[in-house]
Amino acid sequence: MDKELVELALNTAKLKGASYADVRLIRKQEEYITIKNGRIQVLKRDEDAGIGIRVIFNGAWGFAATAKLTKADISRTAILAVRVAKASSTLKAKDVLLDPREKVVGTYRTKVLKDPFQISLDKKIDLLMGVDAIMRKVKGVAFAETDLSFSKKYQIFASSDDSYIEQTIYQSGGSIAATAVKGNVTGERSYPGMHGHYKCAGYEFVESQRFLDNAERVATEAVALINAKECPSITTTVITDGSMTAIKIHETIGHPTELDRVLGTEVSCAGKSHLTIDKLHKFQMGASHVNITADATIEGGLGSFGFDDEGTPAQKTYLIKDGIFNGYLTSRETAPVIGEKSSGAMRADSWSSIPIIRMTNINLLPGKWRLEDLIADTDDGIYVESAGSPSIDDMRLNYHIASEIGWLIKNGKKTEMIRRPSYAGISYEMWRNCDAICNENYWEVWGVPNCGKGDPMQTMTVGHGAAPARFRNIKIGE
Amino acid sequence: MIDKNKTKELLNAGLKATPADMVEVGLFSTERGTTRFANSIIHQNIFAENPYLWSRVILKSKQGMKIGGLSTRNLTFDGITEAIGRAYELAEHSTPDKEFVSLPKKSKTPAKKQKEAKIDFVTPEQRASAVKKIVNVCKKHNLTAAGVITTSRYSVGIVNNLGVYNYCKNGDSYMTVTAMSDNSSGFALSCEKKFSKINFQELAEIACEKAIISKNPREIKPGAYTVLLEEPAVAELIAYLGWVEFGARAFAEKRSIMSKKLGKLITGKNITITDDCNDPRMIALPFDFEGVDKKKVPLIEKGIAKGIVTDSFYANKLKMKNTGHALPQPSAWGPFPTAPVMKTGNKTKAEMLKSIDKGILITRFWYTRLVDPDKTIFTGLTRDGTFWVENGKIQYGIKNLRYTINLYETLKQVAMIAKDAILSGEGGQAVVPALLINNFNFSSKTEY
Repeated sequence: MDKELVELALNTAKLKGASYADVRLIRKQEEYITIKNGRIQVLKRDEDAGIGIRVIFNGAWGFAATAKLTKADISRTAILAVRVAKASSTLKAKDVLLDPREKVVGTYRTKVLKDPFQISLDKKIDLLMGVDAIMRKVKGVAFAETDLSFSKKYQIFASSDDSYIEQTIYQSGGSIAATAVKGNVTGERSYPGMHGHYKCAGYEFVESQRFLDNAERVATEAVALINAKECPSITTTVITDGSMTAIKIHETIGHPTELDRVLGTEVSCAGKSHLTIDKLHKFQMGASHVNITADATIEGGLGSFGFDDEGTPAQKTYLIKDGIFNGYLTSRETAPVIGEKSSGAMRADSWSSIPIIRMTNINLLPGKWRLEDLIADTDDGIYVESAGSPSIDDMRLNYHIASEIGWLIKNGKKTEMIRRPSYAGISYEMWRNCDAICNENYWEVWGVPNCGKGDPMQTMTVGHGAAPARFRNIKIGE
Repeated sequence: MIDKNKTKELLNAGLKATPADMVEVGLFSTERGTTRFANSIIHQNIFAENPYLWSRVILKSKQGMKIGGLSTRNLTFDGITEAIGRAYELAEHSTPDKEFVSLPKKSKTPAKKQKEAKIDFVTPEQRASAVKKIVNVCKKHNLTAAGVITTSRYSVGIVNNLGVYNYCKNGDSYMTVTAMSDNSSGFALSCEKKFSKINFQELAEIACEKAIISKNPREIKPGAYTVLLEEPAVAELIAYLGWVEFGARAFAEKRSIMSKKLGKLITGKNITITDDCNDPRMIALPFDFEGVDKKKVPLIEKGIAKGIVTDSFYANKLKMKNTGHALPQPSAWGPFPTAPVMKTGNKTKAEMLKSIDKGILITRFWYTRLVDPDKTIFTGLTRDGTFWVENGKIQYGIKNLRYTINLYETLKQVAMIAKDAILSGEGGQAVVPALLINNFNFSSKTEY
């Protein structure tokens, strides 16, 4: 039935004069469980379905989407997509051209050992209640907050060039957090990573996070943060844990290598990029041992898939190679501008959204260090964990990242705890000053479930392979 | 868009679909057209119709209430019945909630009879025509145009089995324009209830003027400066303040300054902020996502921390009145102000500018984030029109700066408030005037 609806949409668009059309029909289910201080705040399922139809008519783009999956509504929506494209064509510079390719036919399914929707609610609730109880037993904890979320998305992509792809993508993850409050001071600590950890995986990923084993430590650190020192305002050496390294990759490498930003089409909203085309293969973005890939082919990252939302097969490309800016995240329309084919980075957050260039899994390749050795090798500095709030300018140069917790390093040892350390600077200076990266034993693909871009805002799930890394001459405490 | 009768029919189908002790059903149906332009052409153009039906099902037990939630976009009667059946199953699996008391009950005050508004459908051709007007202005000044025109119409209906029912139909039009030269940009935005109220050429001229004056921007040192914040910048700060400080959750958890200083002076005495969905300049729903009519809530009055917004859960928990600010339930977030309005002053923007000996005019902020919730310290950057002002006149454009401020302390430094306020903001919107603020702290600079 779904295949029939997709074909109807394509045929209607072609009949109305579209020179190209693609269609995404999506059926998605999500489950959310949130518990706070022993109370279930959210126990909810969302069921979503709809179709998005993208067309080129008279050399310009149009898109229309509907949740009404009847033949009549899909025909009406395809006609509307062509009408929208016709309106676009009244203000174009030249016809849209896509990179040439043969038809793509295939299927993809996330590797899942335990389907999260087959795991009983009781088991999931018991896990969170158990964590909640452990955290609240720690004296001084005012709030314990835990959550799990799961999604399963089935998507058909079909296009007028006879491509036909079916994908089923699962995502699973969760977080635990404790807050201590004393007077006007709060101590907040969360696990794992940046307010949680999520992957394209099944319930086995949740089990691997050992939430119960970490609950007491998280709560104890939250309480300790109440009396922790404020971050000094100095320039020093900063070692970031893997999740914190991941957020740096996200803000300072992932976004500025989106080619649509460089070409100016996000200028009014997400902004532009300092990594302009004249800098490609020339600009030293980082130290010579800094290598960063965009890799949708790896298993389990939130940016892992078989095909992007233009039907381009998942790829691995180098964005930074030996420290030099080496490539962009691209689409079928933008890649030809730099003489390339799409890198497979077009993604939409819903059937009702148009695909735009997004990160896949942007990965800093591992180095050779053990974390223990890295700290021992640092005379004076700070070790920070768990990103709080990042902020960066619209060219992706001036960044500021706050975190939950840090420890001063003196003579190769972690010493005093620091509350909410923050650090700031210019992005390429930071990567040029990266002098050490931990090895594959510390490397993890962290999930960012809430990357925002586009207008209307689209919230995308992306991944970042990262390990702890050391950065010299960083301003902290600003 | 789904009309009143159909909405009621679907909501009632939801109510009848379950034998639960309490049930709430809501339907939010939107039609949104978005035309994005950049490099002076239309590059994205979309239309999406997106209905969203949600339900909260509650079962009473001796230990407390058991609650399950569900949403669906399948608006057939079978689809709704199945969805609410699954919400019932979730509620059965839930653990009893001792803190939840009840869904809102029918108000004793008779509901205002609201005539069903006719909301015009704005066509893609109308949006394209408006973009052409903007592009033509920019071309006249040898600038390129970028921005967005979004036109929406939507209906919201909410019902529960305790007698609450509310419905409204609304619409809005929103546009931004960024005029670009090689090394400068200028920005303007407008939010209106009606598409026809937006003067596209005038806004494009404003953006162009900013881009032209700020060509070849100069660098200034970070530090504390007097700033004239235009409305988009003010709206961003006030919206963030609302999310962090004026909701009942942060208040109940004693995480906000409001929770510690209610009744005390927290800003300058010239600051008054009220949440008021009925302000004629505001575009907001007249009721919340539990179907409760929104009340006018003074948040800060003459500098004194005055009040917070609540929903039914937090009103019960805090023994306060329900102000009607619930989000779609169930939700881990508490209520937020949705219609902040800042009281105006008595100066024109020209008078405010003229009063500046040395300072900075700021058009727009970007990537504002909370750095330290204990101290309400925010950071963010200027963007698309930042100017050095001297002897009461704009002198030249300057490279963008990062600000890092304690927001309450900053609101003690407001020296002048404009006499006109407009609906402004991206993401979060507020009715705000321009502000002249002393000692506004910039912590670092950008390269452009």
